[in-house]
Formats: sequence, C-alpha cells, structure tokens
Amino acid sequence: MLKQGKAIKKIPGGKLVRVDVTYSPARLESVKITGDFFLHPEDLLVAMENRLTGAALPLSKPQMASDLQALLDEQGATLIGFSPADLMDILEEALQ
Amino acid sequence: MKYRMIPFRYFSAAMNMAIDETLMEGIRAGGAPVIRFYGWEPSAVSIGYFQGLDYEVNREACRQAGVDVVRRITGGGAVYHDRDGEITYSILGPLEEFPADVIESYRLICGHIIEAFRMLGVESSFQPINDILVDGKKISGNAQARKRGVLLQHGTILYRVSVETMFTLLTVSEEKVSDKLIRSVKKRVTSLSEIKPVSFEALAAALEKAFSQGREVEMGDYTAEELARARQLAAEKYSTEAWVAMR
Repeated sequence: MLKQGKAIKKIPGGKLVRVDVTYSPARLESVKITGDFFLHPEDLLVAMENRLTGAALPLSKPQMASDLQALLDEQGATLIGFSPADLMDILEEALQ
Repeated sequence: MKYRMIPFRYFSAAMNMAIDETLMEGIRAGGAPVIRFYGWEPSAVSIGYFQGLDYEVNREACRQAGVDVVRRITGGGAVYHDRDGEITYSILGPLEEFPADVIESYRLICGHIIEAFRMLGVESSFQPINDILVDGKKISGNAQARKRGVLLQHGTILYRVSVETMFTLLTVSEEKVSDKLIRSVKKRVTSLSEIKPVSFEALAAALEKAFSQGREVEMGDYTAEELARARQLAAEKYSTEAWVAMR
C-alpha cells in the first residue's frame, strides 16, 4: 500500500524547499523537489530525485545526504538555498 | 568583449523567455554577449524553473485577468510582472566573462542596478543571495542560469508595485491573504515610484548607462533570424503546457 507525504521548509538564510513523496513501507517510490532555490546545472535536480527514488526505508539520512553531495561534486554543481542535509530533514518530515 | 545592448521593448512572456534562450544559443555559437531590457505585454507571472506551478500560481485568476503564465529557465521564486510596473533586464555572455562564484557574479551584475539607482539619487544595496534592497525593502529580484558555457542573469527592477494584484494571481491560501499579510509584504517590497518621482524613461536610460560602465557596449537590436527562432521556441516550448506545468 503506497502512502503519500509532503513537507515544506524555508531554510534560514536560504530558500523555500518542498518535498512531495510517495512511499511503500520498504522504500521511496517517487520524490519531487520544488521550490525557489537555485541549482547549476539546472538539469541535475532530476538526477537528485532519481538518486533518492528507490532508497530503502527507514531513511539513512547521513548516507543519503552524502550520496547527494557526491552527485553534486561529480558534476561540479552549485546548489544554492539548501543543502543535501536540509533536504534529508524535509524528506524525513514528509514521511511522518 | 563587446556587448550588444538592446533597448527596452515589450514582448509576451513566452517570447521573453524564448529570446533569452535564442541569445544563449547565439553566444554558444560564438556571438557577442548581450544586455537587453524589456517589459511584459500582457502582464505575466513567471515562476522559477524548480517551482511547482500549482503551488505558486492561481491560473484561473490569471486567465480571468488576461495575465500570461510562464516557467523560466532560471531558478528563484514566482514573480508578477506588471506591464507598467517594472523594467526587466537580461545579461548573457560566456561563463568566463563572470566570476565563477555564483554569489559574486550576482554581486557584480547587481552592481549595475545599484549604480543606476545611484544615478537617480537612490541608495540601494545588494542582499545575497539575489536581491537588491532600498531601506531594507526589496526593489529588485534576480535569477541566474548557467547552461553549457553560457551565463544568463535576468531580473526585475520594480517601478510601481501592486501587492493586492500580486496576491490575486499567486497562490496563497485564503486565510493568508489577510490585510495583515498584505501590510507585511508592503513593508518588505518597494518600487522606484514610491521612493522618488522618476519617469519610466529616466529609469530605462539610467539602466542603459549603468550597464555600460566598465564594459564595451554597442547599441543594437534583435536580428530577424533571432526573432524567428524565438517565435519558434515560444510556440514549441515556452507556451506549452508540457513546459509551464513541468513541475
């Protein structure tokens, strides 16, 4: 049985981030990240969402934040307005 | 590098986005960097590349008011572009023309706007990440995209602002559209006409002058080929539901 969740947070000194998630008891089925943040290159957001999709639950927040940071670093990306660790906090809230 | 500067002109929302992409293509192909000034006709709401359309825009209210809705290729927030309420600019050039650090590049480009305000006798300051403030109130919002070797920064300079209109078009829950919230936004947003009696034309002239400082600039126009390509992109991309409602 799939469940849906959402959470929103304005990062202090940063931007507003929303997470919409669909999940089963075992894993994340889909993750959508929206908000008024900046990411260069822009196309990388879909790759971030894809990296999260399929992740096992319960969340391993430090591991997933580290995976996302590695993805950003590999691509020489600049993420402005939130961090992978912020995203994990919002995702966790969306799952509650 | 010599910049082509294109004076203020009105376009539709989809055309404005399409022209920016067309000019990026031209620079990628070796063309000169560009600075252009423009307005929105009809008035429009633009949302940031990463924003969820339904979270941000009351599409029915926009339809009824004849206000276009478009998704930008840049991040950032939802903006109401009143036809008579602002001047928008775009600056486009090879990445090497600008600081690699994103915030520093905002600071550099926003410096031209601050200089234009200074010429008009208005003191303003850059507020990272991407805003310009006068007396602690936002008067200009800016957004950047960096795509395949080309930087685009566009932004609005508020000439006249109607917070009430903005709230009818952007999605804010009923209880939030209270007088209290409108008063709170009024305290955080300002426009040039609230500060000083300056004509729209004087603001446009100051911006052209300020963006020319420290740069080699030649006044120019769009080519027929650019406008044709932009019309194609406007029709096939920026005005489509697939693009506007992508998120």
